[in-house]
Amino acid sequence: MNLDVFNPRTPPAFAGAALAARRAHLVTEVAAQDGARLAPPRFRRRRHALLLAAALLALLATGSAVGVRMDWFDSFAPPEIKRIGPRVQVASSGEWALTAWKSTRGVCLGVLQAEEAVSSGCGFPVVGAAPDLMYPQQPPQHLVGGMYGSRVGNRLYAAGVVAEHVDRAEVELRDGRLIPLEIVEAPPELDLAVDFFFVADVKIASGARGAVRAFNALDASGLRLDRLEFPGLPPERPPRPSK
Amino acid sequence: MMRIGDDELWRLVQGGDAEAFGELFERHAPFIHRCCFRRTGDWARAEDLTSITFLEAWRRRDVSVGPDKVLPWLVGIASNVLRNERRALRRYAAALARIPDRTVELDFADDVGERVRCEEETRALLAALRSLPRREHEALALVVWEGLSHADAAFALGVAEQTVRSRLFRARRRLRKHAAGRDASSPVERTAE
Repeated sequence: MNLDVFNPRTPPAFAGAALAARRAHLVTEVAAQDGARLAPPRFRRRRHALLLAAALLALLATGSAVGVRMDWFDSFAPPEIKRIGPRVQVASSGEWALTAWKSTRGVCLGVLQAEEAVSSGCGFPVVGAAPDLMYPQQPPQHLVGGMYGSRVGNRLYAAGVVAEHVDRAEVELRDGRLIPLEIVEAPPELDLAVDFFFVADVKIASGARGAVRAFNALDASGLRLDRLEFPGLPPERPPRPSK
Repeated sequence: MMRIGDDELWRLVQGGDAEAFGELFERHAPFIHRCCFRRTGDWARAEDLTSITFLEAWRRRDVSVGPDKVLPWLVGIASNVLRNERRALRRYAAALARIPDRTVELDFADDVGERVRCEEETRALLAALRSLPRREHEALALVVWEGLSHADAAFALGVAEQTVRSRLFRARRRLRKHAAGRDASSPVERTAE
């Protein structure tokens, strides 16, 4: 048995009748219908009255975060929140990465840049997420939850959790842009029935505060299944009249 | 008939030419299948993942792929499909269910025995690589196993070339360290028949 990891045996070629059958099948499939419709819409819209109940603990990082390590997530988490499973990287984007783990407060997310901790949050009440042992409640009804922030002021990241049957997700920025998100499955070692999304390095005009209007969860046809809306910036105070 | 290049073929596919798509499939499916097989150790699953990769490519045919980048682009799609296998299989379950009876694929021309041996070997190899983070495993698979250039692997994975180099470096270092921590018969380093 050849178990040389740097020079594995070349498997037999995918060829012959099997290849021809697959080719014929594909050509028939794509000729029969538009490719975008190959993925049939499977989920009907679900209505939810409350979308703003998502627990959010986003710690916006600053320059002082430089030099901290992964254990920042443990040392800076509120002491009552205990990690109860492995911390696993679930997605990455350039030098950014998203990690996730289970805790007594439900599923937690941790954002890293260049392998340094940037922010973390726990307790996203999404269908299939780890239960919140600290504040037991009705099983979550939401299909999307998450957090966002920036590290250097004008580079936004957004991370979150979606229910398994969500096909697509997007970030809706307050400046009107819609950023489609790649959804990634939870690694098996997390033992979670949710999926994740992560996007980083999104250019924004100024600070992250109030930059995101909402996270949307969509089905395969683009129909919105759920929406997590974030409050905008409070209106500026009028200047005090001078005496 | 003169064989047309991938770039021209892709332009035909973009115009909705299903036969050109079939030609593209025939040309690159063996490579994509090998990528999928070496990441799963399962021949039939790799066939389904190959089909899904191409269905996904058709769905995204409005994408303008750069010159000589059709194959790396397909490899990138395959990497995403492998990363999100459960989701991809669910998404294309209906299309896969329409594949004609698969028993016809196992005709006598196929070397079934060799295929089974290769499956066992690949699974053992994958088990030996469990210590490797997914990103490093991907870089190793594309560059070392499939022979993509660093630039093409970077294109496929959507990262900088330097990132691929550094992931490869880390993968090698990790595997060496892992092997050093085991006895001389470590499956990572051993080559035996």
